[in-house]
Amino acid sequence: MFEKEEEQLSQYRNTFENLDIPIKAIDDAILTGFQRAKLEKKKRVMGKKVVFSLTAAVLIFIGFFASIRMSPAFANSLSTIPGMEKLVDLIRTDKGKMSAFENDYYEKINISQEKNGLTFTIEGAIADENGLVIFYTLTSREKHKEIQIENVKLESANGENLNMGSSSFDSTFSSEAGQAQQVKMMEFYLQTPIKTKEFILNVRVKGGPKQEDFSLDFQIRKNIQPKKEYVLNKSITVEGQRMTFTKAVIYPLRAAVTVKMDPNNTMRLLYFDDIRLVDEQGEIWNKINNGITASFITPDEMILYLQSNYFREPKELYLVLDKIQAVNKAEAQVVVDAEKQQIIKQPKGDIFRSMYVNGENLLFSFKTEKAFNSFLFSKITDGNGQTIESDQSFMNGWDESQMTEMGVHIPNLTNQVNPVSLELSSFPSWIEGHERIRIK
Amino acid sequence: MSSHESCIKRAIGGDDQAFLQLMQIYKLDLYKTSLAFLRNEEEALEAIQEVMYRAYKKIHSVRDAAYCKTWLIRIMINYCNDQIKKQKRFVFNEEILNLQGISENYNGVELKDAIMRLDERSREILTLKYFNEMQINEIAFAWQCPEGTVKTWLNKALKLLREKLEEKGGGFHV
Repeated sequence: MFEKEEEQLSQYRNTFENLDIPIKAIDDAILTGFQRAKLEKKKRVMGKKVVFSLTAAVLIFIGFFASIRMSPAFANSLSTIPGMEKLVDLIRTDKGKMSAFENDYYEKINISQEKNGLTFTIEGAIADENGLVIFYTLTSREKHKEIQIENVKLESANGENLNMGSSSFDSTFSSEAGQAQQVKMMEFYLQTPIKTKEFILNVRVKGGPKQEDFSLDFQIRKNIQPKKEYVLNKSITVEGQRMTFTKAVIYPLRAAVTVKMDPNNTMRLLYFDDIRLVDEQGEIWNKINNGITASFITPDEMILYLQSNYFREPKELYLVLDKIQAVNKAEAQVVVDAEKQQIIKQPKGDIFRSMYVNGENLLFSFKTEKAFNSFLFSKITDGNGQTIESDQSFMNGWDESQMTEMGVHIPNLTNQVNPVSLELSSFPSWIEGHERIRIK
Repeated sequence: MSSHESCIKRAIGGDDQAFLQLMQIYKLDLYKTSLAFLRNEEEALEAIQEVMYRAYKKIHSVRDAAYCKTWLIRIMINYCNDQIKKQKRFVFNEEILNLQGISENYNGVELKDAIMRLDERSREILTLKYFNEMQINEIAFAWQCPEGTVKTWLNKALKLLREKLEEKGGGFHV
């Protein structure tokens, strides 16, 4: 039918067979493109490293897209004080921490240690009964495109066990220009109230071939503000799934709401990504949007963390939610064979497009229509049902290809018994309702 | 293609050396495809560079090693289609350059011109089928649609191509 056209097309192709091919130039182009991608890939591994013990945490990362920037007049006025604007930039999206600053609850510390051209300075901290946020500056005499932080450990000066629950910090700072100074923060939350006010912070800093271990002693002098605790015991049902909010505890750094699921639910409730505190005026405090947003006590009981309204005294306070991430209980985990680099089981919808192994990391790619920045897994078990303690994980942001890459470090990966199961702690599928629970 | 399969698998798994090896295998296909779409060698080389960049960043998402080549060619075609869109307003000037520049093969120039006037889907299907000599089932897999649909589109594309060639014919045929 189209023989003539088909013939013309294959003739056209043949004209390319006899072309002079600039092989050298093609090879150069291949290498240039490859190196450009490689450089960028490395840079994109933004790795907020997170260490967690007993409590499995749900994490969320601010991507390029998170645009929850508040601009209270206060932030602007504070920003005009030299040295403060960079600190404020770190917490601009967290009303609770901003308010701690505003109420003079931030404590200036200014303790430094210098080693071979690298200087680590603790600028200041905010502490409450349960948590400690440290603001620090890293200064480098030499220019490094990338500086990494690892082996972060907070200890009490008297050697007493702090019973660390979770800590999170940015692990990699990259700057094309080799920026000589970076201001960052790290957060520590304990499982039991902090008894001491004297601490030692240990950190290893790597810049280029250099590596230095820092150990800084510091002290919190301000009075620690006591938590405010509200007993709730209120139950709600969303799409047939029942849950009871047992209590709300408001600390200066964050608000913690405990919720218990009905064991008879057909679905496993995961991350509450749409929950907020609202006062009688309609003012809203959202969930934590960068860091640890929830922790599981058991698969059926979890603590949700919201931005704190500690320094306010609202007449009424409500917990409001519209949707909750949920999957059928039978589908609440992803099972992989690390040796064959295969996904054996995943929830309906096949959002995980690939899994491969890189060193001791399992790297997952998953596809979502909109940016989905929360970390997906909590408890990890091997083929014998033994728990594997993963000490770190990282995420590469969602991009126009709709893919997000996430890595989970599995110590001693090659010797682990397959298949490896990863419990979901977050997943892009929701049940919806409109609920309002009175706290006070 | 299956002899390359282990190399492809390693590349998908993040092995840089395998990735580069793979690109050596497909570089001529890619280069020729880019040349079929673009105006000159310089643009074709730029396309190679960009496709390497895109491929390296996304190779881990390739689900089936057997279709790696199709996947790569499609990245190239997508890139070229974008370039063509950007160039649209220059097309008429460039025609003259093309006539003088590319080759002694007058038909080739005319055909290329006709292909450039097609819609993107038709352009892609003709390139995959006749230029990269892909089978209907391979194209169907890449597009994730039934083979019947590919055949329908292929026929449409050929019909359109004939129209374009004919409408052009008056002025240029010898």
